[in-house]
Amino acid sequence: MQGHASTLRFHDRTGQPHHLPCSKCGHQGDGFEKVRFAVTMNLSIGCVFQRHPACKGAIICDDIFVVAPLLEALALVAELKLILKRDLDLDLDVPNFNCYVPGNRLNDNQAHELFKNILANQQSCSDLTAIDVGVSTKGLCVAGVPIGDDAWDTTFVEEKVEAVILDVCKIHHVLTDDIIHYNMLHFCQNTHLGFLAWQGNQGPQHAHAPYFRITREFGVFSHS
Amino acid sequence: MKISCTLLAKKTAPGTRCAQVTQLLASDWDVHNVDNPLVVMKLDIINAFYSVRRQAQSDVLAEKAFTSCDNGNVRDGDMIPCARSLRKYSGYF
Repeated sequence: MQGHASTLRFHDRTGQPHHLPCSKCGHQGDGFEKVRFAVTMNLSIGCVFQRHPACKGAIICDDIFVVAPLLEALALVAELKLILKRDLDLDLDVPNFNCYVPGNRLNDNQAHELFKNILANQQSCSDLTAIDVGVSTKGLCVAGVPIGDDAWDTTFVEEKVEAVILDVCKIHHVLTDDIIHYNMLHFCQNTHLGFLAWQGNQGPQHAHAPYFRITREFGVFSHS
Repeated sequence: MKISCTLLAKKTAPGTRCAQVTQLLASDWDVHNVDNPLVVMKLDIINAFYSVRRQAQSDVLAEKAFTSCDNGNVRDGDMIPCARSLRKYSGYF
């Protein structure tokens, strides 16, 4: 079985055996590792969700998204935190949680206040007191895809575009090999923007699509 | 409208599908009370791939629990449901 702590033994060219202690972890770059990880987490997470019928969720790799009314969501997350630690030795990073309150019925301050009040009054949520750091009423990034109101989506995409353009400029100065330069632009930076452009949300970011075309000569994205 | 457009998208990467599902689940925010609004919470796991204990993987593939888990709700010897299609890939685990 892969992913278990083990000792790797190999013989070098002189026949001398070597032993290397390996920690438990997946192999970087192994596409099947996502499946292994999902199979590992499936049981514990499924059991917890089963006890909270008001909560729904989506999971991709190690990103877990819980969609539920606030009280029920907090109850589920508090239990999930305990179960994941006991069963799988996994720690949830509470200060890095992000919460999105859709609907524009609350502003950010009101949402923060609501979270703070509920966390202060719910004994079962004592482990989640740092959660209000990432509360937003505008939008959320789900696996690299922005979901939220149009203004938030647009800002998100614009910031990503700026970051990619900055990276492209750096690559232009650092790389001297034309092929590597082209491949970096074509398969890394272009793919990043392409993902944002076609990720399916027909919102304002779709309007950016024609702007992204790589020209090998300049190594920058030009208007089409 | 936004959701229906999303679902009609021709190209779907795994991340896009996850976003579509999340967006769909969050679409009925208006039926919830403002005092207990619908929220989307993104949970973060510290060093997930490097620290996860893999015993559960063996148990799921064997369709039988060999250790107690889920706070004792799943006990040693209990049957565990597993997708049959995973058996084709048993050599990769």
